[in-house]
Amino acid sequence: MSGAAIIIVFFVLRVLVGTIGVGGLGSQEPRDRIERDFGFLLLWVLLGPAWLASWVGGIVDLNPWLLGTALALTPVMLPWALCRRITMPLGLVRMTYWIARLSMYVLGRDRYGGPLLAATVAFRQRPQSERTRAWLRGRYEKLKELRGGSATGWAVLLDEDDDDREMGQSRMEAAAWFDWRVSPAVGRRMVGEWLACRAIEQQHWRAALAVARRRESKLFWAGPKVLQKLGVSVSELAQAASRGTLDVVLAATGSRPAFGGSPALEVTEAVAQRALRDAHPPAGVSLRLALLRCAHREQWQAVLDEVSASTEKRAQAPAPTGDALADAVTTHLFVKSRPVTSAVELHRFGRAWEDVLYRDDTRAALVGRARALGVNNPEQVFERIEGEVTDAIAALVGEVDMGRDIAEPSTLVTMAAEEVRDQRVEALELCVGQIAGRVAANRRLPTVDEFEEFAVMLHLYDRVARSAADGRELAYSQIGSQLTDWACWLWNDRQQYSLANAIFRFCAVEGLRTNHIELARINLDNIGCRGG
Amino acid sequence: MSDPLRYVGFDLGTTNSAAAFFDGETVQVVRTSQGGQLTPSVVRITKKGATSVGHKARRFLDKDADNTHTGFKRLMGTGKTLAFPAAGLERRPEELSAEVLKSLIADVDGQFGFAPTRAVITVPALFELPQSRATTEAATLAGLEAIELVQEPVASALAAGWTEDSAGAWLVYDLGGGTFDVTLLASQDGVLRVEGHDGDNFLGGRDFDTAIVDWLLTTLRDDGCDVRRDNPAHGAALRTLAAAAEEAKIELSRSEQTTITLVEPLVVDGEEHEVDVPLDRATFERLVLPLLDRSIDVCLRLLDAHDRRAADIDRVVLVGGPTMIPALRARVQERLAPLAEHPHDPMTLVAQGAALFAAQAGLDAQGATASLPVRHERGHKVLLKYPSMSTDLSPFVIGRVVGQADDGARLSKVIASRHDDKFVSEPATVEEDGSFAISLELLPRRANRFSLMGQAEGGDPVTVEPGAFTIVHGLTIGDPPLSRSVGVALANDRVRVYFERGTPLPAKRTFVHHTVDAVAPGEDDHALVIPLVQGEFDDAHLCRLVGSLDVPARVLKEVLPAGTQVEVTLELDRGGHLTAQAYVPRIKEVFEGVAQLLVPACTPDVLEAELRTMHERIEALRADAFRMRMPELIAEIDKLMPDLDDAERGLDAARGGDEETAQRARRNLIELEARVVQLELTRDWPEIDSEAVDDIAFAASWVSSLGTETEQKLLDQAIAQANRAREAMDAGQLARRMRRVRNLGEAAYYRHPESWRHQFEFAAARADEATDPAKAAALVQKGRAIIDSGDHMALRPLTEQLWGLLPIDAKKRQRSHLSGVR
Amino acid sequence: MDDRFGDNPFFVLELEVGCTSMDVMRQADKLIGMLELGVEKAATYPTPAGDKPRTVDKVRAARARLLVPEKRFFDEIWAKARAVDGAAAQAAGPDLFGALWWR
Ligand SMILES: Nc1ncnc2c1ncn2[C@@H]1O[C@H](COP(=O)(O)OP(=O)(O)O)[C@@H](O)[C@H]1O
Ligand SMILES: [Mg+2]
Repeated sequence: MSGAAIIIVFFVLRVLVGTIGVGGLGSQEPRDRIERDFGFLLLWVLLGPAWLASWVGGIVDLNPWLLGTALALTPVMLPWALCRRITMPLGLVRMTYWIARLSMYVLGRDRYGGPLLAATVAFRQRPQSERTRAWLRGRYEKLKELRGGSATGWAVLLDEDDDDREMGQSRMEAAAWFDWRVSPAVGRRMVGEWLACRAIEQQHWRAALAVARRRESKLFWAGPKVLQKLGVSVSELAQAASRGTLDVVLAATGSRPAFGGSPALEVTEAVAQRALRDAHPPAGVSLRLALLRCAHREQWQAVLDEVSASTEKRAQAPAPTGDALADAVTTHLFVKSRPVTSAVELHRFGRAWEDVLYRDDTRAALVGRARALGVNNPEQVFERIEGEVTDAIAALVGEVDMGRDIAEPSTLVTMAAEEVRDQRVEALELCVGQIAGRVAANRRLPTVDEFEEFAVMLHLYDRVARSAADGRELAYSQIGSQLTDWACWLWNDRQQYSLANAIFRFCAVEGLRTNHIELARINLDNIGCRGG
Repeated sequence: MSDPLRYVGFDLGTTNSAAAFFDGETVQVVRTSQGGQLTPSVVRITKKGATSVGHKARRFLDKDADNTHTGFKRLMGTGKTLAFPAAGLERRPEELSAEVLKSLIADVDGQFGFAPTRAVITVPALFELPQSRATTEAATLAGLEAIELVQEPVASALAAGWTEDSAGAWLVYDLGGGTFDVTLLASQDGVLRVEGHDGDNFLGGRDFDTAIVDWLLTTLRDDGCDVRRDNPAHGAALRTLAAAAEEAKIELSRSEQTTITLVEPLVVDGEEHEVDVPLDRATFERLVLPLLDRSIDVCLRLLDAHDRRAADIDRVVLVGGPTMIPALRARVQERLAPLAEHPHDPMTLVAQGAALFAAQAGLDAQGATASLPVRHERGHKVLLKYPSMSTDLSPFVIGRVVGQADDGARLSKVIASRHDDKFVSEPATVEEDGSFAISLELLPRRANRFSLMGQAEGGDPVTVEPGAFTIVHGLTIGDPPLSRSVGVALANDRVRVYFERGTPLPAKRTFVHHTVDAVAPGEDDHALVIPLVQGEFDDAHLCRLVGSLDVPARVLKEVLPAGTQVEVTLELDRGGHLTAQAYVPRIKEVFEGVAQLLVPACTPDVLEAELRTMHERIEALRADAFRMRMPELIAEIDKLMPDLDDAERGLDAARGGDEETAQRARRNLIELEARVVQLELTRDWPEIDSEAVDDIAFAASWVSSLGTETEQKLLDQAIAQANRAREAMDAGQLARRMRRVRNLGEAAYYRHPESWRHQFEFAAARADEATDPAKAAALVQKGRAIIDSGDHMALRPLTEQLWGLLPIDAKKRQRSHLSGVR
Repeated sequence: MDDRFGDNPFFVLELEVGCTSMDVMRQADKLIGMLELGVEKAATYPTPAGDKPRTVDKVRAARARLLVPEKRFFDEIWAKARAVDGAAAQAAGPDLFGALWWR
């Protein structure tokens, strides 16, 4: 037994592991899994006994050679465990990266990006030197293709030193659009848990619930073939979408949890349900089990306890006094000083101001006062107040889901929402227009930055979608085809298959939801493309 | 603070400058060493490098024109230098202004026996930021340690209000040598407030001279003496004539009739011509009437902007040399409002106001700490705060005990008594933290001196230090307001306003922007540009670029993708000095340093090119107007012509080396352009409008047959918005709305199987306009093949590629000062 | 002056809505004096949205606003606000994110 022999074996195995079981777009799930499992099995069959024996022998005989061999083989045999349990918690960035490179079983779908993700998680564990950060960034920037794992890692890395919360969120959402075939399962789980944690942190319980329950339709991994099998046409899907039953139909095509199984997400669901006072709180046993499986049992328990305990400590809306102006202004203050929870509340706020601004008696009284002060043009001041109110409303639009049918809608709110939506659409158009210009001029950005633009786009799109019930339709009608072009360019000219695929998926889903059948069909076809 | 009050103010004029002194009760205009009150803003540097200023220099304006400069105030902040070839020197306008200031400082010293180190300097209300900053710099160069800038009209109003009852609305009409400013002020409860400004940066006494010279040139031409403005060789002759014209103009303010005579014959192209032309007041008035009316139109425009009519104005304060012209006074009264009752000296009013403002700002001419007398008996030391000038007849003095008296008795009450002994305050209690507040009573329009006395716990009197202070009562004005809004130009040609007009200075604000384009370190010619603009327009390109904060790609270590957050902070100090900062959270870096943009230099070539395009545009416009039978439009075009002629003259002047007039022509051209754009819009409107109507019809029909319910609603909204824009004739807005209408229409239309074939054919027809015609032709060929195969849907990517090759609308960003943020 | 309530000139100067321009000048001068001397009483002012710190700049800005009829009228409107609960402090969510996610 010599060191040289060990090293040779090591490299042979390394090559072996490297060539098998790597997923990619176009690969089939079962086959992929078999290949991967086979590789792993082979490794264990070939080396497992020797490895175990050298541990046993080494410990029993206290033989330094045997112990050395055992230790040296450990990263090959159980690379992920080593990372997860030791190097990652210790924040050893480079070591995590190199060991994770051996972990084909867990990270094989993103062979280079997955280890980077692991290294980034390690990076997050403790304060790191500027050099380490630069090293990590450099690795990301050198990636030939950005896949799910690296996209997630990049999002985590940037969020670490970016104060822009919303962008952080969008980056993670962008990472979530990557296909499972190019995203290691741990990476997907990280995305889901990350989104869940953020939502909990911000007390966006509905968002938390949605993340915990998010499912992915089979359509997106099997492509339009599924439709053929089911005998459903794209236009039928789109019709379902416009009826609001898209999710039902998609579910019928087969689906699975979007982020894979995660106990943390199960707990999140329970937390959100409790916070929202759901009629059917989750059963005790499964929750207990999920908690047991969670990495941070105590903290999760604490979160759970806290939401259960927080009984209606919501601030009480100010009671009306009959003085329309004082009421409106006070409501204004109230609405501004804490998060608004519903569109109904927003509309009530709008109506309070309407009582001041558009009722003849209140308005006349104000005009009188203005004249007494020597205001030449009171109307102008009213316009400013209206502007102020509109701005306040605008700031809140998008915080709440604007919803479709409000019982007593406020014109001010409706108009402000429209205005906000238009402004946001304009920002989105500007962004996508800029991307289109870049594509036309063939100006290439480093891959991570192409991803960043996708995230920015998502962010702007999401803002539009939230600002009005019809925001999504408007947004998509303005940018859908340019986005498709961008993705095509990424695919054809830049071989960024995974990112392109993510954008196709986005375009397909949103195309269906907004009844752009034609674009949806094109993008569904594109999802089916093989690459890489 | 027991020294006499000494406040100094300077009017740093384009043509003439002056200084005034205020001792708390009366304002005195400082006499110059020559015995007059005015110091011409003229600087000469001789061969030996000796600098002379004022009257001494003025005499050489036409004799030694090359080495004698005036009007440099107009070039402040332009970065341009003026040459003094004899001495082989170059001087910046700031340095020349500093020379004038030094001369004024010396005059103050001569008359009052001290050289001020702190003073107030006036600037035109419509000075832009770089110009104000330049003025501050001039003051520093002149050796002043602390200055405040105040707007000329504010100073004028303060001075006028000092001597007469001030309630009501005022108009300060300031026509100087080269600029016209009008300001609307309102005073209430003795507080003066600027409501608004307007003006014409290029209208002044000099235009009156020019009008006379132009008249003179035609007269002389009849006599065979052909002097031309565009001939650099005639520069000297023109200057001589201009000087003679100015003299005649001033003479005509006093007498009915004058003669323009030159002492020495005029030498033109080697020939000598005697000049001896009579000019009477009536002719002169006929020549300048359009100029007068132009100024009054500006006043009316200002009133209109503030919802006022001429009848609402209580009085007009006239300021500046040309306001001595009787016809002007008559015209102002006829078209605007009565003149201020009290006779003010229009030439020195600004300086007087500046001195008054110094009192309000507490800007003692030598600093309050200059000579604190050392006393032997030591009382309780207190710090006092009070307005050095107050409108309020019963202001407060606030104090705080900072040192106990030697005898150690605690100060429990403080009393103030006025020096005329007619007022003694209530004893004010000294609080736990040593502070106290005493309510005083002032005598109107006087320097009120008070003594301060303390009482110990038991009521024994104790001394307090300082034992006296002075408050002047008079009209005051709030903090200096910003005269024009300042903001950041955005990529969509809008402006994000940081400071609205009227914001009290200093001010600081931060907004978050997002980049619209990626900037990568490698792309050396790329930069993230954040243009800073000043002006009241909604469209960024119409506002004046006053600076730009650039983040050049070469300083970046990593890519800033589109959508990167940028926090921009703008800060303005009292003197109008703008600083900007951009913080990019993503890379945790701060970028600073505004590239202070200067008014761009104006060469004859540039001007000529601009003038030529302007001519072409106007001619095209006129031709179209005739063809389309739009008489109103023709009338409007005709109204542009005088300004175009003006610009033409400016070009001549630029060729003759007169940078100032050239600048002015340039500025007028910009304004002209804004008007031409408006007229072009009027011309194009029918077409734009009918196109919009067609597109609306297209969208409406497709959406109603193939659109969804939501799309229908969205379209209805967009159409309503578009119609509103059509009513308002707002082309920009209409374009935005129509894009939406079109997109919605197209979305529905594309649901139709045949649609892509139509689109392809349409794009193919324009293939020759493509940026890459060869590629476009190849695409068209491929497309035809696809059509033959019948798979119309496959045409889509191809057609879109084809579109990509057709010219796109990148022009808008170009216009918005190339802004890289939204 | 972005915060209509917290920065409202009437609150900053602690003046009633019906005060005169003279009151504004006097009060502003007084407060500026107190602030410059570091008098504690002047350091904060009450608003319906809770107590706020007072600075010389704020006082000057408030004075400038109240002297312009249009702006004053505008500010008078916001000064009508009554105190509401929950305005002062906003309950923050659990800051567990850092601890929960992949530690
Ligand atoms: N009595 C007068 N009548 C007419 N114009 C005069 C008279 N006195 C001076 N001017 C003109 O006034 C102008 C200078 O005015 P001034 O207010 O000093 O200018 P500025 O404020 O630009 O320094 C010059 O054009 C001068 O010819
Ligand atoms: Mg002047």
